[in-house]
Amino acid sequence: MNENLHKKHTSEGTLFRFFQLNKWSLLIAAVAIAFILIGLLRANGDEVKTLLMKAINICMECIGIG
Amino acid sequence: MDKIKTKKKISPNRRHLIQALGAAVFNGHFKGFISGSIYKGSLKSICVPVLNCYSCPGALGACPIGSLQAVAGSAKFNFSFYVFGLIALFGILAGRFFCGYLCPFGLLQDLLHKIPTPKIKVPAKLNRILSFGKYLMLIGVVMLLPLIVRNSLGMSDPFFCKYVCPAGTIGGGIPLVVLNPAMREAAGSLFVWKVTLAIAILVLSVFLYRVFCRYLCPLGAFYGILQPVSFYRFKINNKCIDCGKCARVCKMGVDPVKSPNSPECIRCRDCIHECPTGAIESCFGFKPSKETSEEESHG
Repeated sequence: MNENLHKKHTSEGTLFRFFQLNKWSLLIAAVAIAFILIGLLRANGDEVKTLLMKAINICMECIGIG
Repeated sequence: MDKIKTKKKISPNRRHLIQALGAAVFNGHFKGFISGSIYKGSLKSICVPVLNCYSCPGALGACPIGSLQAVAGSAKFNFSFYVFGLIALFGILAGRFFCGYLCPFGLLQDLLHKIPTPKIKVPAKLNRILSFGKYLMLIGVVMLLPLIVRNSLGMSDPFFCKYVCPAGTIGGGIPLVVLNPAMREAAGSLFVWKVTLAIAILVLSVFLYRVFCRYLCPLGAFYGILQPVSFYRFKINNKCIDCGKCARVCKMGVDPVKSPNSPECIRCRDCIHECPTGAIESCFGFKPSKETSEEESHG
């Protein structure tokens, strides 16, 4: 019983330390994920469709023609 | 408690193998290189974490820098939350690890630099000034120009891809022009400019290590900004004897003891490989503990 409690305490401690030491990284990761979700949902997915349409056609500017 | 890898030392040759595998995976549409056409599947809506032109006949995913400009240059949107979020996520996870381990254009420059010729060592001050070039590319050419310069339809050109990107010229432009007769007919002065610039960068890469990554790459700049706070970090432990071997071996001009998480470091791990005492360690998710870190005392 005590051993289980100790294990729980240790894993919580590790988690706490992880959050404490990486708060900026976690914050930026959360913002990045939020941005991805906004992009996916924005204008009924038109943002990703715009990207896909550009990427599946040969980009004349990228290859130095148009 | 810290997840620190001290025993694994990845040799430069194994790194090149990983880079080659990365290049093959990101450009896995092999039949495109025969037919002179590009992959048109839904995977193209996902950005790869490296500079890999989506007009390359083999490309399976989208180039993040090309995508950022494509969406920002469209009539409907000024900014791509989706692409920006993806690049930020890649950057916060591993910083410039992608430059050192997965970028196909990085691999090409690495291999060219192996050609036995006298090498140029850029003075530290000049190197620092020139390295701002990539931030100018990112903020000026990739992000601001598409917002400022728009045509009557409210659209803009992907300026970086159009006038600068050598990865696009080598991965997309040259193969398509060689394989596709219609493209060959259409190639004009812009193509000549891009090929000239790409050749100049490749020739310089023989003498100067990763010249494009150091001074021009906007994706490297983005990852570099996030590198000091990314989950993947280097740390210096108390075994450091200040021999300076790590700084001497670093081809990117970084002193790992002074700045283990420098925005210029591409995580090639040459310093870890070279360190005689195993004082440089990599970790994921945990900052170095105060009693072992010399980051504060040196920098």
